[in-house]
Amino acid sequence: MPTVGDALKARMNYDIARQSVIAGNIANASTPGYLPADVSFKSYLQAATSGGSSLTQTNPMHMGGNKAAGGVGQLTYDKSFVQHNGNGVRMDQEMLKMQQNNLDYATVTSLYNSQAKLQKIALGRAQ
Amino acid sequence: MDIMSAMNVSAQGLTAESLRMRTAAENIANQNSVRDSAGTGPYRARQVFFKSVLDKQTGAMGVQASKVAPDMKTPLQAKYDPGNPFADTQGIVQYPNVDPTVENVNMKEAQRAYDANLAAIDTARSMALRTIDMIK
Repeated sequence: MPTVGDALKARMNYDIARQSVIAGNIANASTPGYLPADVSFKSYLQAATSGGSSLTQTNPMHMGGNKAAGGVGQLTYDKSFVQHNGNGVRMDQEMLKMQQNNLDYATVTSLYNSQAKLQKIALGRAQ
Repeated sequence: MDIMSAMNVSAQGLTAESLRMRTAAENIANQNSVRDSAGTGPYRARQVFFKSVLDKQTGAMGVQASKVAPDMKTPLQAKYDPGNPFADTQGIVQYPNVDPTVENVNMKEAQRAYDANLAAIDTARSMALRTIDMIK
């Protein structure tokens, strides 16, 4: 049976993978033809639990799902915001996603800390 | 995919953007250089080309300035200056094809992108610190 710790771990792995993908989008904000990617929690969970390569490949450079890495993720972009050089990165959206992700991570880590406190109480070591 | 790979990607972004900034500065500094370093012709504006690179180990999509090439398409600026030692038989001197407006816009863009990459590093750092705090 999955424990609270397992759930928190999956979420933390996802947030870290997403930070990498968002960092890639921001770093490629000036690369011609680059379309931004994102990781959906669902696809990440599927790849993490089944180990299968179920991730969508939308760019020939993308690899099939990698069990450890969770893959690069799907492309998410709005056609009306693609620039003339084929770049679809929207800096405002990326910064927003990054802040959101950071907040999510803070939430999960504090949840983990509360859970660790509960375990300490169960062990009779509560302060 | 750990938090360090996110920082690596952002660091690649910083390197690429600073090269773009340097190239723009070179172009502005050389906008009146009627001879390039080889001495064969006027200086030509340089352009930086970015390429995304996939780190196969982590699956992270980084960036690289793949090449810096002189702009051979934009025409040079011809100025009439018969007293110039580099003037041709008709008294025309060819000046570099540097457009200061384009270079300034490039510099602004590079600056903004640099800031964004720094913000990404900051976020990754705060996530790493929170992970370390979990040990307490």
